[in-house]
Amino acid sequence: MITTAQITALMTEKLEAVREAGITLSEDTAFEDLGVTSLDLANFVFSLEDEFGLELDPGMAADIRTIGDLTKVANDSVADAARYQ
Amino acid sequence: MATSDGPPGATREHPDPREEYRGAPAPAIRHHYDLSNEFYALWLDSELTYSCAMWEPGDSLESAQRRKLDYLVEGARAVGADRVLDVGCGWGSLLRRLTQRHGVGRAVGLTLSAEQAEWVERLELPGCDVRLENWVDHPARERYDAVISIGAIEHFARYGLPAAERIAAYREFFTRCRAWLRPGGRLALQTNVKGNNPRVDRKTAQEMIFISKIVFPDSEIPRTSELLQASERLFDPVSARNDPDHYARTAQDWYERLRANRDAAVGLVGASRTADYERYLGAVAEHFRRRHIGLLRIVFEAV
Repeated sequence: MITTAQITALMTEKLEAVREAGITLSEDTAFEDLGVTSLDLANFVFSLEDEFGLELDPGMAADIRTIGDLTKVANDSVADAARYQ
Repeated sequence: MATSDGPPGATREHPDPREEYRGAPAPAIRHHYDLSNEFYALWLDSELTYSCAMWEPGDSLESAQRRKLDYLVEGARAVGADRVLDVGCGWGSLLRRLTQRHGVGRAVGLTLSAEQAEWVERLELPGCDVRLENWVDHPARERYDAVISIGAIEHFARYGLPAAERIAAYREFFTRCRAWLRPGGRLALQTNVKGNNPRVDRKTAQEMIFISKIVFPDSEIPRTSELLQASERLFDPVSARNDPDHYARTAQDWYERLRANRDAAVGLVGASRTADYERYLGAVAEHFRRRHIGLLRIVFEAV
């Protein structure tokens, strides 16, 4: 199970906009409000894949608005992978 | 050449501090457009029109660029006008087309690129003024029959702004344009916009990041919806078309011309910058084809 804290830690490491925003990140934080562009987010999803050994659908990045959305997508992927083992 | 030097804020024309400018700062603009006029002349069309052409069968790059300029001039109802403003005038091809082909009395061009401004000055185009000036600083009391802006608004909201600030940035531009025009006056805009294919593979994502960090730092292209929202209660959209395949073809032409002139390019700007531009022009053609970016030509009417 991937936690929000793990994701926000990776975001702080990988996304300059997040470091510069300097606000407390929560499940409800919207990427747009952090100044994270759709391109930054797509690239971050790749980092997430590498970090946690996931394979995410590149198209679903478009539907991700908040950190909570991303956490759910990541965990859905973990669950799918476990189901098909 | 008129300039608007000095610190942002108080000037003779603007005694009150202006709105904070949310666009790419002048150094970021110069980083790209001041590289070398001779370098751009190696691969752009003969009039250095650095924006998407409009292609019909049988067109050369030159005729397709003229077709694009005419489309926007006619859309803006600038034919035969007294005064037209060109925001982001580049190397002056629209200024020339307005005055020499379409009977415009006075065409005023704004750019943040010193190299471009110097180039246009040297052309000594009758009826044309070029100003090294941000549109934010252009006097509000000026009146124009039409405003045209081609490939500039991509720089009016810098990279990483939250959505609300991006819309505020565009809204400031529309507010200024509205003040420069009379009711019924038109604004013709051509701009890259975000495409609606979100399926970006890693290689494409890397290329897009390269372009946005190295080639066009500090800029982020608008969404069509952001432009429409930002223009509400100021302008009515009159017509709009999205032509990504036209830009794929334009970029492909540029890429091939640059490749053919690589030795001269390296002599002018070095191997590293030449390689950057080859990579960017080659990659971007594919981004348009895959609909990650669009090319919006949109005409607005001041209400």
